[in-house]
Amino acid sequence: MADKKIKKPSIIKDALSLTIITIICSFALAFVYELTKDPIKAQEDAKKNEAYEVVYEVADSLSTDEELLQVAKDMDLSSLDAKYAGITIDDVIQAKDASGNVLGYIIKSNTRGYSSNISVAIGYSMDGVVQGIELLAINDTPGFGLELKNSEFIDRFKDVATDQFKLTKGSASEPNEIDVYSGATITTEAVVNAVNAGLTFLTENVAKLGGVAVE
Amino acid sequence: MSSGYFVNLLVIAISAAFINNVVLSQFLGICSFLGISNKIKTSTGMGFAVIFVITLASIICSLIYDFILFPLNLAYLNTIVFIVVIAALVQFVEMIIKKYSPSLYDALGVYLPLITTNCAVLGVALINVDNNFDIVESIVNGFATAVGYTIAIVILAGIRERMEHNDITISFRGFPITLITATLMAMAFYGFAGLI
Amino acid sequence: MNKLKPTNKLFKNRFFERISNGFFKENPIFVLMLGMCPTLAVTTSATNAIGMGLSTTAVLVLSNVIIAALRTFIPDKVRMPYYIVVVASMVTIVELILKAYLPSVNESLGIYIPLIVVNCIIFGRVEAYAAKNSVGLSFFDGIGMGLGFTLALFLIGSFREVLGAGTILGFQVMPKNYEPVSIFVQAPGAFLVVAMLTALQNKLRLPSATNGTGKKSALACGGDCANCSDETYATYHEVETSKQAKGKED
Repeated sequence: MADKKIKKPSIIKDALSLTIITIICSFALAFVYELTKDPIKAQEDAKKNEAYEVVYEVADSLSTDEELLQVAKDMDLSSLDAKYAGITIDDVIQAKDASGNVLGYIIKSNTRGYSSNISVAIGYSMDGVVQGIELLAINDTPGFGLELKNSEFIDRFKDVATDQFKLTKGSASEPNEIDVYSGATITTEAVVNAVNAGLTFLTENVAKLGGVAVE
Repeated sequence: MSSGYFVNLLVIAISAAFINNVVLSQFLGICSFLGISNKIKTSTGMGFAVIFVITLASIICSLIYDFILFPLNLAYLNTIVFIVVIAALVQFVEMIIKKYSPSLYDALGVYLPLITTNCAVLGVALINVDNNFDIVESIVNGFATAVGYTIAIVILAGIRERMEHNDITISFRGFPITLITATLMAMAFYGFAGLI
Repeated sequence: MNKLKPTNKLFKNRFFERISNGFFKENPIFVLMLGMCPTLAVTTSATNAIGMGLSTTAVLVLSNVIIAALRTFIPDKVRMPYYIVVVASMVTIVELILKAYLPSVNESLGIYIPLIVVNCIIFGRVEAYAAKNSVGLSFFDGIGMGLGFTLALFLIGSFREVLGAGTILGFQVMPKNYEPVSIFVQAPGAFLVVAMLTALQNKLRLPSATNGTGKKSALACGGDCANCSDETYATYHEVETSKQAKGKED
């Protein structure tokens, strides 16, 4: 407030006292941040792993595939298909059985819904069957985009042998066709694209992958 | 690439202004939305003040986040930094336009102090960060959100002006009927969900 | 004007009086109509409502205690920035703790957690109560107001959840064949439920800031934003206008 009558010492005193409280608050915050940093990370990891287990139920152990992850990080997914612009893959996990054979992969891909980021985990077996998907982060409007989180929509992806899902409007008949969720067009499209990007990435980069073609 | 980027900006703008309308679907800035929507003239004034402040706040908060908080790993401080910046910004803007443009001050000045506590401003800054918007996207999102606010408050004011002489059941007079109007507007705005 | 007044005799303890005040006499949502933003936004389910209510309570209690403890040191001219810094820090602390130990709550409440900073209840109580009263009283005032807020959010949230999803706290309470009226958990439902609530208060002549019978809070925000600015900015505008008047006299 530009009150000219304020005397100088008062300004200094006010500013000083404000500075002090700000410094104290910053220290308090930094302290709490240090305390909560590890639990926050642990929570995030736990949540991720839980989702990974859901998308690949038959796997006994999961481990990050550093090599493929590096490939994914260096690659621009839009070079595979223009539709994949803006999608990033930030985790590639190998799903193994009890004796250590690679059963398939789990991909975590990120994209943008129409009001927030969406991240999807996709489980894909070596013989080209989608094991399941899980929405890790989605914050769209309650009643609309959020409803995609329900099992009905998620289950549409489960156990489908395909390398591409198609988006249809209420006429899905093939297993690899997904109906647009009414009122959440952008979100459905974003999820399907993220899933497809993950699948395409795997079929392109994993030589041994069976890749069952769609009839 | 560039055309894709513009489409992306357009989607952000439409979604911020209509589909995820800041008041009607996100409930930010409700207080002023219900409080000063009795006349179109004041609503328009408030609307323009909000557009001005939100756009400016989006630019500044986004710059601070991208160049100071994020590189220094201080992202957790964003709430406190943003609110302090917004409060200071509003005061500062008020002083500047008072000094250099008295006519603008007459039009917007009275609304400026109300904006600090308007959660839409802080809300937009936080949404920009949450969605990893870059600076251009943040500006577009901020501007469009504020335009959405202005559209909503001016429509509500228009309806309230018409209702002034209507015969409304006593229990519903004032606040309740305004909320009912807002209900119907929120339903109408759901129609925009089909746009994209 | 206030029907609950006679019962005050029962609450001899001043601390207890503070708590009952927050629950009944000055319930922040039902009576003071403060904090409309979270009232409308996070009452989509009873669980969200409780999460929001308790987070707000924590912030309110912490801020009240700190401001009350510092009240003699805070220079009057810069008290608003003071409050902003303290409240925002408390909100960040609560947010970090939620992220670490209750991530699901933090996720479902999203940006409404940091937005507690601009919740009128916090500034309202800090300015109108904590800045003038002792630490102990302010603590209980925070508890009372916060829990009153939580209770009100919970009631509205349960109501919306029952009609909109047929459940309370996730448990099925409506008959199996009940078709949920999903509009109640969506945006229009929020406005509708609060509209009905205030209409009911008017009908029953219950105290509420919206019909002018309730006790006016220094920072009542809900019905009329002009009130929102009362205490915070009225002083400022008084200063401005008196300055202008003085200028003219000179």
